[in-house]
Amino acid sequence: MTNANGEAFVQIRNLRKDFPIRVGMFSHVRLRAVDDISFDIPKGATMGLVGESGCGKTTAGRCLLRLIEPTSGEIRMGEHNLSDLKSEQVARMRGRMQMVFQDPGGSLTPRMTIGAILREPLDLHTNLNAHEKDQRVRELLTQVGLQPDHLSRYPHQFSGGQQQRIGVARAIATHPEFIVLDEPTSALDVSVRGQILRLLTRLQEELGLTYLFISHDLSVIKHTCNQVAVMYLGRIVEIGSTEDIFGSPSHPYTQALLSAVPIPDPAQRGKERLKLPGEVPSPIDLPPGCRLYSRCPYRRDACLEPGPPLLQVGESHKAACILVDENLRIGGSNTAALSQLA
Amino acid sequence: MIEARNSDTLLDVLGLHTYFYTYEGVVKAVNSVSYKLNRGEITGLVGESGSGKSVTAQSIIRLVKAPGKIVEGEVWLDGQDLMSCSETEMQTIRGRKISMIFQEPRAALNPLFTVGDQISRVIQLREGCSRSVAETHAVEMMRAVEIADPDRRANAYPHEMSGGMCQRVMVAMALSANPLLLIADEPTTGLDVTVQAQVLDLIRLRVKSAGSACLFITHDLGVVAELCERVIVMYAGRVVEQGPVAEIFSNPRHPYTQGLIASTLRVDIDKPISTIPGTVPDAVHLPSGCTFHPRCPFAEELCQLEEPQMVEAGHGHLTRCHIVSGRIEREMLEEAWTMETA
Repeated sequence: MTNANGEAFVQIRNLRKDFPIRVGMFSHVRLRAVDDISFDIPKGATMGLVGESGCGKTTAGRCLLRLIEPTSGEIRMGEHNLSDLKSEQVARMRGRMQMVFQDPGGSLTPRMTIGAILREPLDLHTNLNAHEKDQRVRELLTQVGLQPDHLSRYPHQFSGGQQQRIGVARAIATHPEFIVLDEPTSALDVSVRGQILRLLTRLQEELGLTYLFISHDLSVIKHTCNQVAVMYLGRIVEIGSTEDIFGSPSHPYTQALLSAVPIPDPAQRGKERLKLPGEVPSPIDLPPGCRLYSRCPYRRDACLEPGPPLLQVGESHKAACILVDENLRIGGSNTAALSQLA
Repeated sequence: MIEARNSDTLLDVLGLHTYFYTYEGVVKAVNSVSYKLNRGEITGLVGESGSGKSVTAQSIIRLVKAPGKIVEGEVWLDGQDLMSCSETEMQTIRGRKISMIFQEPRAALNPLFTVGDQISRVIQLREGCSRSVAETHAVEMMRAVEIADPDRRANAYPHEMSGGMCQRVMVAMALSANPLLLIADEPTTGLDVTVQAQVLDLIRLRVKSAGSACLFITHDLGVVAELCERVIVMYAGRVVEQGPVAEIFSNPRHPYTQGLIASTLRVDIDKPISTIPGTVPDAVHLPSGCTFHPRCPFAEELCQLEEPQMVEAGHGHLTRCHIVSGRIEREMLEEAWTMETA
């Protein structure tokens, strides 16, 4: 996607979201879904947020748009500090920040025609007259590769890929600057997925959009994002440019995640893998140390101490693993050192 | 079929047709499908949604739900003609000779019984042994699928277990009967990649050690490349290509298979996002001639008029394309898939 350098357009600082979980008649425990995450997205760039189910990536994305209220932290978009705004003010900002959802069928109202679905954001956020709105709806359909005469049809008359095109058209209707894409291609067939990814890339170039791309699929992230943040149990465990993350993954979790992705090439079968035993533990009442401790093949006692913070690996590359620090001091690559330790 | 029947063949499917009689018209979900499965081999059945891959599996065990009907075809399992079996005979075959693993493990397990109970019931039915013997055996099976603390976990209900754990229980249940044939219908779709890697290892290990045959249905070419010996590619109810996995991936001959491989994104290499133009056709109104022709970048007039026959393309590799059979003289260039179509 567009290579964008320069100043951060979206800035997230120490974002945190707790959910209370009822455990008895009167008592609650805290589930920290998003734990102290910070990152910047430059204008016109795409930040990928990747992790397995339950890692907090969707919650983080929704907090960014204040679709759910963050517990604490700061969210800035351009000159606005979203975290300070009252909910009416946020509602007025909605036209400038939009979302595309995972399930294209489920996110379109079945009783509304495509025309009505696309007109709704225009009614809410613009002062266009009826004729102008009509024109804008037709323009949107063409922009996402659908026929303008489709506007009197209902969502069920479209295939999954076409429904997602409508979802994208709705998101760009009000000329937003920032779009959160929450697993936009996960429900689509392989042959159609590429079409939607290309559409998103083209629109980003044409409209100068800034994206947060949430996905569990590393191959999609690799092909769409400039920067990537890897999340595990609410925390960012590694963050860096796409080349950093895929070229020299430095956190054991990122390494395991990458090595677990099946490669569509039988010649590479049987390559060595970093396997994580067990499954993601319950996110309720987590111990203070490294979240991966229970599954990490390189764990030591020091990992149980609170933290670890994100440590610098490269210029823009950070990983939250104490081994990174040790290895950087001795100047070796983390991957090589990790395998020695194992 | 071109190959002679050999002793390694466990399942022989010949000219299978399964149609669904809907209000809109007849859906030819499985249209003249033929293939063989060998003992000790895992065969991948690949296709997108609506390609007929699941119905093919349901037809083998004769569990096609109305309005679907097996119209024509033969299914031979270990020398026994399944199409002429009575329903009572089929009931003993299902579970004893053929087992199935479904996509959603939680939906396939009974929420009212503990998992230990459900596994031991299968064992009791097959062995005719006492309940307590079956229960001991069930715990052993759970240990075999690497469920930690199986004695305690046997008393858990499906809702108390994670998706990955439930899928292990399904594998344990399916394999506890030592089936000749294991049908796995997208068993890892919806699981996280690190857990998927564990479940795939388990299926591979158990199938190989039992010498069973396995039909592994998936839409993920990565999984096929890692797991399977042979591949069958389906499109719109037809097998368009089949052969050994290394051969199909290195030398795909059908344009659909080529497009599918090209549009599969990979974490290990950088390449432009490719895509197959258009969408999967409407099942009631299939295109004339070759059903893939409206999406095929190499299609010519003959492809609209006449349906191609299955031809041998060397190395046990069968495909259904006029270009491969030599009816059309034309080169199939890889660049065709990276052309802008969005």
